[in-house]
Amino acid sequence: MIRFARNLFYTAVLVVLSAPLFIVAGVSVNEKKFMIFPPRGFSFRWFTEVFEKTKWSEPLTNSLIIAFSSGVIALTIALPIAYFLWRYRVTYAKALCHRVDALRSAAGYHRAGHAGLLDRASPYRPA
Amino acid sequence: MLSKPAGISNLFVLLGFMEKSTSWARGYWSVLIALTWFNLPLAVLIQYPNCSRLDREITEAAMTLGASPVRTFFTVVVPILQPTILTAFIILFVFTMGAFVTPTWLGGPEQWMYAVLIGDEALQRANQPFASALAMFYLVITTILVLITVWLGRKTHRNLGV
Repeated sequence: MIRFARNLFYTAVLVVLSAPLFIVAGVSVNEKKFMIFPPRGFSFRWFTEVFEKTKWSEPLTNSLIIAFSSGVIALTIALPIAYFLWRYRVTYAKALCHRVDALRSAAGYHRAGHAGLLDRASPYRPA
Repeated sequence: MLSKPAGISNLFVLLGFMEKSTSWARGYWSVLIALTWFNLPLAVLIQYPNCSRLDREITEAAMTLGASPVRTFFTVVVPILQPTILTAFIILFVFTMGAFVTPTWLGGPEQWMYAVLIGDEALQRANQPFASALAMFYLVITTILVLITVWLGRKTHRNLGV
């Protein structure tokens, strides 16, 4: 029963999260140039147009390059910061960690945490 | 901050690094810098919990065996955190792929990113079905790239034997 309820809840969350996707997918197979859902008529002509008009190639490469490099740059700056916060036990970072711990226990990790399965090495475990 | 009237270039002029203040807004680099700046706190927040769960004994052992702090960081800490780094990268990548406001404001037509193209198609040209088709195409590309990244990460993680 509990498992059934849980699966139902997960399914509901998934459906809600992916709802915009279905709307967009539905709109993209509209036959005429309207924003109508459910779609009227069915055609792949917009998709063929996507492959005919290749004006997306430049924005796509821009997106890919910028997303990749900004991700890499942010990570290379952020990893030493995160490591430093742990390594040198910066005081205000403890507040952050307590917040994260609180979030985790709110998310149901508390049992594992208290059994010592998680955050075994956490120096900031709340007393 | 990158513009001419109120930008940091004025500060550089004041300090004598530059002759005249210029505008750095509108360009590839300004988009890149702004998006990196947006991603930075997110990257720290994603990685911090896993950093704080590192076992102190591991780095201590590396130091005892004679590794310098820098070497410990690159040969011990980075491989252990490799899955974390990869997860953070995927999250940042997907976030940046969907960036709309920053490239609209800071980029000219040559620096348009894909999301801006979709927005232009849907709002300016009122061609929603075409924009939706573009979005689906983009979704497929992004998903394929993320899956490739995950696959590569699994493979290297296995090779590292961590």
